[in-house]
Amino acid sequence: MNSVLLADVLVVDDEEPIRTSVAQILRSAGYSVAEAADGQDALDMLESGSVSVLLLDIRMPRRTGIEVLQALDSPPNVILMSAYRFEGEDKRSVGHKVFSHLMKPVAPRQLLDEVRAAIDREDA
Amino acid sequence: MNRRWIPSPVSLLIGAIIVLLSVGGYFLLQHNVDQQETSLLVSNTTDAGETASYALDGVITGLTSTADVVQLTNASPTQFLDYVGLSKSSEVLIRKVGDHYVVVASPIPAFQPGETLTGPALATVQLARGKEGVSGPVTTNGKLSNARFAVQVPPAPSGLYVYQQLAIPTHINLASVIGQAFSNLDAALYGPGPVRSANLLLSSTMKLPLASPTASTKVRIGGSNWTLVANARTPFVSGLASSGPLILLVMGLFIALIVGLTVETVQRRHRYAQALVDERTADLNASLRELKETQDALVRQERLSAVGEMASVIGHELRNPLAAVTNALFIVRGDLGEDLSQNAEKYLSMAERETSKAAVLADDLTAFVRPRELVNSEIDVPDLVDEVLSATPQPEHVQVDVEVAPCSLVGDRGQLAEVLTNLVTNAYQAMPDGGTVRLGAFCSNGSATFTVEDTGDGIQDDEMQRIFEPFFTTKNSGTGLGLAIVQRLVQAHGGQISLENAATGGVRATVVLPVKKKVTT
Repeated sequence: MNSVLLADVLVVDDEEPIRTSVAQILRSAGYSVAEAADGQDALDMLESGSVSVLLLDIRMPRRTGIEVLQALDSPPNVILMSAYRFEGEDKRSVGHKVFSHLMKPVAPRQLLDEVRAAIDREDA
Repeated sequence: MNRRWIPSPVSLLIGAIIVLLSVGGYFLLQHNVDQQETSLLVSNTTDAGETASYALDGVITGLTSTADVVQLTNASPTQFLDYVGLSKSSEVLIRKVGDHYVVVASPIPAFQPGETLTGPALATVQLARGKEGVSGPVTTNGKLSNARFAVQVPPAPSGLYVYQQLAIPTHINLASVIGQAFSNLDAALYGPGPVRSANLLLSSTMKLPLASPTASTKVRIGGSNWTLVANARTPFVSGLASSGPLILLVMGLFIALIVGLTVETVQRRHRYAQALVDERTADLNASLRELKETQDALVRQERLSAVGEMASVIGHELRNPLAAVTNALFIVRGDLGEDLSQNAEKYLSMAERETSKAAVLADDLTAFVRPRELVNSEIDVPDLVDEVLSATPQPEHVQVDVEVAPCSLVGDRGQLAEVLTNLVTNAYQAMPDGGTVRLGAFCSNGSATFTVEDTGDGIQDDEMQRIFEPFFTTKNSGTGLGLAIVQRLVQAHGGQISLENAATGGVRATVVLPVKKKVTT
């Protein structure tokens, strides 16, 4: 893992309104936030630096959230945030790399609590 | 099919008609034959009587001739004897002397001149009146019969009589007397007076009186009547004619049997075929019904599946915009800070509230088609019920009666809580004016049973049929997905749910779940 810290949170979502609004909420809460529009973008960015929390959508073009997790040997704290459930084969293959899973729409308060918990876990 | 031999009414009727016709025909034909027989017997007997009359008339004629001779010869005994001697006759000349009748001349030793007549001979002569000959009483000893004849010598009253007595065997071959033409007759000839054995002159048989049927005819002998009684030795109506009635009867019965059996066979085949057709028709109808039901179920399934698929897609597609709107509202509220106008606050809250509702709907739409994977654990039933009731605050005026037996089952706690919450919420909503909810839970025979019963107005029968259909609702507000999802969740646990109108008038929901022992994740 690259030692350069890109941001506190990397928000990966192909849906621009979601990506930008989530980023805005996190920034307002004081976090530094980087954004990626799909899985491949996210992997490229993680080549150049690290983040504390990876906020990851599942269904995306180029690389899905699951593929991103499969590509990363030791990912940062991952919070999956998707319109689909995280279960079955996906959960069995990469479940151990996931900190938590939130179903969209996620209440912003809950999102902030989850991010806080992930960062606290890293610090611990 | 019934295999017992019960003839059909039609074959019985046809058989009976033919039997009746043949019996009737038998009697009709037999009557005809009898009539013909009687008629032939009568005509034969009459003919025989006439023939006998002709044959015996010779005797009277002989007597009359002799009387003429006696008149012509002035009653000379010598000339009388000469005359009867020539004709080899046994006639006797009688003269009435006072009250006595005395033999004047006789060619036979049985009567001697000067002898006074007595007995039948006297009776015979006393009968003679005028020139007409008469016959007197007949006597018989059973082997030999005596016939007596007499005629008065003219001119009357001359006081002179010619008398003749003939002895003949009682039983003779009649044919030799009255001809071969009557060989078929048995006959008996009786002298003047009644028909009785003492009066029998001759007969062709020893068996007297003759067996019925008999015919009788008068045989005229001079001024006297004899009686000829006859019957047929063998029927006059012979051969096919006489056996016709019997043949008709036998054939009629036979035909009745054959026709009856044929009709019966045809009837039976018809009945069998009909039964077969009925059976096949019933089978076919049952198959058609089954097919229709299966088709309906398939169509329904297909429709539900399509509806569900669409619901799922919509549910998912709603999630992203909802997420964006939720975030946007959060940001806006943050930017606006605490100093919101009353109006702005009102509508911002409304937007947040309605977005939350839309999020719940999206959850329901998704959950309906693809229930979440079961996360099984051992669940304490009373504990589960407590959790549900505390998470579902009861409305005012609603009383909750809980009767839960301590037991446990294995299942997805979250999903089962959702099931019970849904049912309890429905019960609350069914009683807007208050009432009682009875919640029961117990375990027995490897299954856990939950019942939720309200005292609301119940559900109409036609609505009850569709109550588990997605998007079907009896409420004014609601997606109609609640019970559809509940049913999915219960079925995912291998259980069953049913709804019915309770005796109280409300609705009773019953959920039966297997109490699995193995915990799987």
